Amino acid sequence: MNAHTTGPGINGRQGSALLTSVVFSTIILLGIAGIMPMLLNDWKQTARTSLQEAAFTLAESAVDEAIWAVLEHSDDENAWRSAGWNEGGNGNYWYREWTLSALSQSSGEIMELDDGRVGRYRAIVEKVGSSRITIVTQGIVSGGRDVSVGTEVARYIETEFRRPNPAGYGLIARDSLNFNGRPRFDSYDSREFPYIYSYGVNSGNEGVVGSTSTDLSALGLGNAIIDMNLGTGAPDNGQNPAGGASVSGDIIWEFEMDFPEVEVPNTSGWNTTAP
Amino acid sequence: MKLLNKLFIIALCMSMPMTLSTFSTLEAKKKDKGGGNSGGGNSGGGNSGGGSKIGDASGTTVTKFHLSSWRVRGDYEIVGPTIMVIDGDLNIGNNTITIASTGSLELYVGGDIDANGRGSINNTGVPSQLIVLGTHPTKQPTESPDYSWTLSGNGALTGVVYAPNAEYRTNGGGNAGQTSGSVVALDVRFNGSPGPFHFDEALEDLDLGLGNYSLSTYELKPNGNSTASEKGEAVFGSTDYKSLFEQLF
Repeated sequence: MNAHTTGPGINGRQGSALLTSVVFSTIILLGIAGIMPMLLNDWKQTARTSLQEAAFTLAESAVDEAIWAVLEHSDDENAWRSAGWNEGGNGNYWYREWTLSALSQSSGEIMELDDGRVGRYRAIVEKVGSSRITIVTQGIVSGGRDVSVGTEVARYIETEFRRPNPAGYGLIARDSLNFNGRPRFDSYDSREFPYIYSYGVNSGNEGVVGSTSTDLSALGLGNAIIDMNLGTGAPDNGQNPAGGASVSGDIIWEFEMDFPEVEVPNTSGWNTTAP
Repeated sequence: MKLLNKLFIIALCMSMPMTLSTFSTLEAKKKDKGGGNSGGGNSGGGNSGGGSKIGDASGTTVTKFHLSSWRVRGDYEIVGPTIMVIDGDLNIGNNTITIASTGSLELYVGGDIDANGRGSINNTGVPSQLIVLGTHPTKQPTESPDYSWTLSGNGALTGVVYAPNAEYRTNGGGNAGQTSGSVVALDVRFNGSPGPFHFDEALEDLDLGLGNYSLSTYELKPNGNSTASEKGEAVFGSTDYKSLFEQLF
């Protein structure tokens, strides 16, 4: 009697293994195919973020350069020009560009942020002459290994620098404020021309009447009519700081402002005889 | 008759030196009054008189004075940009200093200011054309001020007053005694029947040149955004920074 084996032969086992590996390979390939776009997307996103961050850093460098120029050159137009700044078309501002290569210690060297990636930064600075100076900067980054040819990213920063302007408040006392009678307080705008003031018609309610003293009793407002804000350096303790005065604006508690020191200009060569 | 004529001529000749002497004395007094004292050291000052125009009306030259004090005699008109540093007192008295539309006056005063009667600084322009800055020694807020800027009578003030270590006082008033501009002082006192006070909103952008610049606002524009702010548009003349940069570079 011949023995009969009922299990799979060697060929059958090989076919089964092949089938299994094909199935697994297909699954893996399908998985990779599914993940690939995500990986590619992440890769592109990383590259773009890297460009944006570099552009932002360069824009910040331009802000630093602009501030230094404002503090160094102030309103000396010759100094601005000598330092490489150009005057804007309307005469209101200065502008300038920097490239990383220009900052290189070695002449002619091309400095790159990364392999094939170059950057430059630019600034436009409002001329000194106002208590508020607006600065706008641009950082630009282009090229690199991970981005398509011609890719360029720019970021913009707009900043305002201000120096103390004690004239921009209204009527302020560091200590006591005392009014007799019934004086009236309001605002107007001398830039309007022709200016014809009429109380209650074209008068405004901007500005502050007040004191920076933390003592509420520093305010002696009498029966004043204040169509402006009322400021006091005192914290809000529930009392009415206006007393008998009529205040149509807001009450500003803990009111603060800078009182910069006045520096006398250099008077060398000035006329010393009274006119 | 001839004798009488001779006596008359002799008397006339004898009186001539006296007449000339009197004339010379008057002239010298006038010069002293009008020219003021040219003091030694860095500054002079003193009395002034007669009244006249001060400044270059064309605006090309800034007229500059450094005086130890100034007692004003007579009315003056400031017709051009003028800067005065007065170490001591400014006594305007009953006189008027008028700032013409072409003029401006920047005053640094280290002492008292006093005006009375019709005395005033009459600024016919906008408040930013008259800037009065106090150079007094620093005082703590609770200390009594050593210096006072007093405007009495009915003189109006259109200008910027910054005297953080002095007292600012107005006496008198009525509508003629109005103040337009901005006032900052250690103590502020409106006596009598004070006139109205009008704060000039245009002074919010004034640069008094005091203190240093510091960061006020910072805005990193979102990706793809380069829109100018309202202030930026006014200064740089463009609503979009991208196009402005492209135009400039």
